[in-house]
Amino acid sequence: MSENTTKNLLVVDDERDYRELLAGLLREQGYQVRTAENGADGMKALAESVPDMLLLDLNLPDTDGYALCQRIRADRQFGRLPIIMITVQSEMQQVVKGLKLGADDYILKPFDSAEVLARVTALFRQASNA
Amino acid sequence: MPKLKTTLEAGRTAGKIQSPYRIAILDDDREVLEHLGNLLRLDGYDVDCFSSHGKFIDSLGQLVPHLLLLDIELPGMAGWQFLRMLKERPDTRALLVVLMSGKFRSSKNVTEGLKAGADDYLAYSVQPEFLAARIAALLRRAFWREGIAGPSHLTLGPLTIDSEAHVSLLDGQPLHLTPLEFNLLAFMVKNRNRVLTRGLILEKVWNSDSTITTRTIDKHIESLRRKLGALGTKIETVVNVGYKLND
Repeated sequence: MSENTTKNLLVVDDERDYRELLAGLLREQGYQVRTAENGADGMKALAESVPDMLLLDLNLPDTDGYALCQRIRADRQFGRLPIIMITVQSEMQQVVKGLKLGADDYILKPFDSAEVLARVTALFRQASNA
Repeated sequence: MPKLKTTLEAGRTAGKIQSPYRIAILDDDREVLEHLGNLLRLDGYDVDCFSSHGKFIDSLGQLVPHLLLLDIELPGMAGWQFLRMLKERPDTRALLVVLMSGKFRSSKNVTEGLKAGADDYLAYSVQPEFLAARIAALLRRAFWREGIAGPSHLTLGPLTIDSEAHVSLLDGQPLHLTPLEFNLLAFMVKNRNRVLTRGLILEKVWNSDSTITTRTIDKHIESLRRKLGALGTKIETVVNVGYKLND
């Protein structure tokens, strides 16, 4: 738990229920969590301070999630940022596209809390091994 | 993490550029081994297939793969026990492991797998395109190189590099580069017009492999110059320091 308190996560999701559920779940584990409800606010939050991991919904109202993912990867400042994309269960083609465009992993809505936490932990482990 | 193989020639697989990564598949079903093996070879990976835990362990003395697709229901030893053993061995602790299961993929199974040190848990019924994308993403993250995994497309005059697909084209024609030459070229293109010391190149491209001497870098530069033709003259030698790629 104490190890997590030094890690900052940014959750970008336009659906308030999911955003708050995710943020609450991660905070319970000791992570520092910021949230944004659209792509523009997400980019602003990224520019203010680079998180240790980004959880990014691909279906945002104002921004194409894929384009955002590509923009982040192309940026020198946060190109290496671990990214978990969030998408809906029925759209596996979206997951394939997201992975190809630079996302590291994925969470499917509706999500299972234990799986979300295990994926976040696994990605932190993979990023620290790189 | 094991070092990338240096001897693989790019473009060995028809129509595809050879990936520098080696994938092992551990499964007792011959059809699965053939199917997955062929699928991954088409993506340019070097693939080794094993039908028992013992055969895979024996092979580690010669070469540790970059990623293992592990049948979690393989008979002979409990899959979880085998995974724990891999995570305890110094030579396989950092090995990427994707658990494969004939059963339905449930969140409980996935969570259990990730907690045990695996990197994902997939059902055999997964779409081939999804499996390929997931494997590529795991390898990209685990073997991240500055200048390689950043922007996917890099260009310099007639040269185009797609670091995602590991493809390089000169005037639209495939350049046949070894994986190390590819990484070296991508690093130089990304850092064009900057003097790159041999030390920095060693660190970023060779991942600071202490067995490599700076003479090895010089040899790879010479080879790159040859393969790049007229564009090769843009690689400038900075005496006693390193190299600079001018645009």
